[in-house]
Amino acid sequence: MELDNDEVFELLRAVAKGSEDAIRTLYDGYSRRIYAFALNRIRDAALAEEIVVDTMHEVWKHPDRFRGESKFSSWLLGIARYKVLTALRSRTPDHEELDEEMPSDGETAFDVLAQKQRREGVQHCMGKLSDDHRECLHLVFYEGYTLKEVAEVQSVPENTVKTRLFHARQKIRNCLRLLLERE
Amino acid sequence: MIKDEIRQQFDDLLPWYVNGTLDERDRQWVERQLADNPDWQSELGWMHSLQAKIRESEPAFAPGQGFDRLLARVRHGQEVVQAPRPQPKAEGGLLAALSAWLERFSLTPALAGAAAVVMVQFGVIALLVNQQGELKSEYERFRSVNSGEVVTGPALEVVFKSDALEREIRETLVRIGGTLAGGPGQLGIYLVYVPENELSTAKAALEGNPIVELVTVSRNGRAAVEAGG
Repeated sequence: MELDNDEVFELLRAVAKGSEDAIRTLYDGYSRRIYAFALNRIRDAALAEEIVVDTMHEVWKHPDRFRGESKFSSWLLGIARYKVLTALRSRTPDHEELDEEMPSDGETAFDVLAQKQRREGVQHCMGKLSDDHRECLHLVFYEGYTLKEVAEVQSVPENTVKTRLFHARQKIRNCLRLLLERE
Repeated sequence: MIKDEIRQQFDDLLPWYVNGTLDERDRQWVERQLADNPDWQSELGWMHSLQAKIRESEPAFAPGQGFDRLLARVRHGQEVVQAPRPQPKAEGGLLAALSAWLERFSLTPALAGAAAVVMVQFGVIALLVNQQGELKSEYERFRSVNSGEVVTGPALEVVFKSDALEREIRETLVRIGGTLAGGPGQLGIYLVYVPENELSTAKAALEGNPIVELVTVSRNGRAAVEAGG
């Protein structure tokens, strides 16, 4: 569900007056997406749920901070992202960086990959991306955001998003190729 | 455009073609390239497949999961404050900008008054400095609080805890020798300028400050603040 900003403002005005129904409506509408976003980055279900609660609590405390200059969902994910970064601050990276410099063996490999890649293979390879790269793919392909929206949520210039996407694709491609070679 | 450049542009646009957010002109351009280069279809197929896999992997999350905890916090925590309103256009001069900035804090009347006096004093000083043509860069940094001036060089992105008082924030900035260059954006991010050679010291000081939730170094401060809204 993506409410338009007029509907969101109406709900936020109600939140500002202390309406629990209004915050419930927003929670029902957006909590799943915040959870998916947080879990994708943090990979801890309990912590991801806590991020959802923290994020919506920020909405309750500061409904005035949304000024309608972006989608409400991307504003929420921006808040969630800072909550996630705070939670991760003391944790060490638990992913293994992938090598993206493997020599390409031509376009036809993609045909093979497209046919043979499996859900677990993609998930395995997604899990090996850096947090920023994985988050970028999530925002593009799960949320369906525009380039500008992804840049806003990730707080980076649009060119950085393009670079992240390029490297993420290369890394997944090479990871899947390695999986295929091992079979 | 040579072939490599075309391929590069195709690669740049393809994710947005697949997720359906390209504008019409770019969409047609991608489709022309696919028609002219049938072997690029495999990349398109691969990306569609990747998108499908990512969407299939939606985690389980029950409706209302966690809402009871939110409600408990809402009922026992600090209550709300200001009604939301669309952001006015970034016009209206320094005074309006200062007023808007001050409104974002939850202040007691006395503290708000004191803060307003301080800010007006800063405003007057800044205007005088500007008229005399001295310390121009300092003025521009001050003016950038709301006018959208670009901070040159690295800066710090700071998220203060939601219960931090405006006085505490100001004292913190003074202690690290920082200048508020922008914010808070919609995400509550402040952009704080400090001289580059003091950046790491200031960052460390902020990280140890209990009113600070998060601090990161921004090499592109302006973009970061705009990301808030």
